[in-house]
Amino acid sequence: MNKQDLIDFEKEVADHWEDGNLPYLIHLSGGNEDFLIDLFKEVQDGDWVFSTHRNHHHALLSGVSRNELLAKILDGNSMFVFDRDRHFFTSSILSGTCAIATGVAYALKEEGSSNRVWCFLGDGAEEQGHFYEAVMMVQGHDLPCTFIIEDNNRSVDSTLEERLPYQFRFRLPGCVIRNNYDPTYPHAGNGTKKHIVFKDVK
Amino acid sequence: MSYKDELTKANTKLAQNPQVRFIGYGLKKGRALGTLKEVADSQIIEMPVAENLMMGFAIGLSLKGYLPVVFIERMDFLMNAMDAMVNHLDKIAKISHGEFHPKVIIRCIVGNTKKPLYTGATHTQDLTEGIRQMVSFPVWKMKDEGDIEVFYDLASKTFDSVMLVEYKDLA
Repeated sequence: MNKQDLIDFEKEVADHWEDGNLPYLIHLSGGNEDFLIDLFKEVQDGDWVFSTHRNHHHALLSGVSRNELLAKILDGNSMFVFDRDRHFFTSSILSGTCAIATGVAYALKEEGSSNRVWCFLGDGAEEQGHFYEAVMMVQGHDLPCTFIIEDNNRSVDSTLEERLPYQFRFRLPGCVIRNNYDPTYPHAGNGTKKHIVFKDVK
Repeated sequence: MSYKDELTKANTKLAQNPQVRFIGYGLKKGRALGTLKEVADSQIIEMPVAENLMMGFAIGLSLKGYLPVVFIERMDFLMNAMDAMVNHLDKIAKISHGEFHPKVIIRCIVGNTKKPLYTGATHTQDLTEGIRQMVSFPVWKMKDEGDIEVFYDLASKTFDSVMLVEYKDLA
């Protein structure tokens, strides 16, 4: 799965949205392909990936097939992509996966496994207290878990400066990495506002 | 046998399953009001005072095949864990279409109103009926010592998560 494959997949989903085939909420990925492709080179078989409402790129790079993922999306499960065999888990509740990730990481460590956990969140979820509890647990037990903040400077539609005028951020420890990127698509939908599903709503 | 002795017996029996892990704070010293006094240290995971972390952590352990037992020493404090419990523990099987089915046993204590003293409005709430409205898994009140063995056995065998409501006034 290369960069163009990822971009093309999301374009296809966007087209379905625009054609009115997707009467469901979607969050499209885009703009972070290079970073993710490099990161997923580190993800080993047996590792766990915890993703978010914006999970299409993560799922494809975790090995979920294009057709399988598209079928899930067309069936209304864009925000609920799970794959037990690939240890791929999502939550669309901001920062909801962080604590769960710590439990899996603790178990991996107790088992003496060489596998680890990769837990994605956005810069909006970074503002949730639950994230910091999980970071504390990972650092406090030296758990094999990395949190990846995909920072597109957007929480729904608000920039960091709009949310926090002094743009405060905690200094985060080694279990957290941040990728700043410019998103291709808006928070939800594909930005065209051509979605027609609601036209018949009375 | 007293209410507390029945709880101790039930938890000791639960711990015979090597996959059981008791999760909470103050457990290694306080032993969950003494009810874990027969449980090995290796089955107790001492946690920071962060109930949502405890509940989410338990979900993660369950995904890896453990049977976590989360100890919430006051039902009032469970309110801090509502996201992990209501939005995740209770919904994961549904939203994942059965790909994942975590099971967690939650021991939740209703604080003492009498014995040995009244602990105040934020430490004595029995919110059982409200919680039953929020989750689909069973929430069982153990109203006397006769309920304990029955409900603990059911909790250990059922496929789903369970909340066991215990009363400090009875212990």
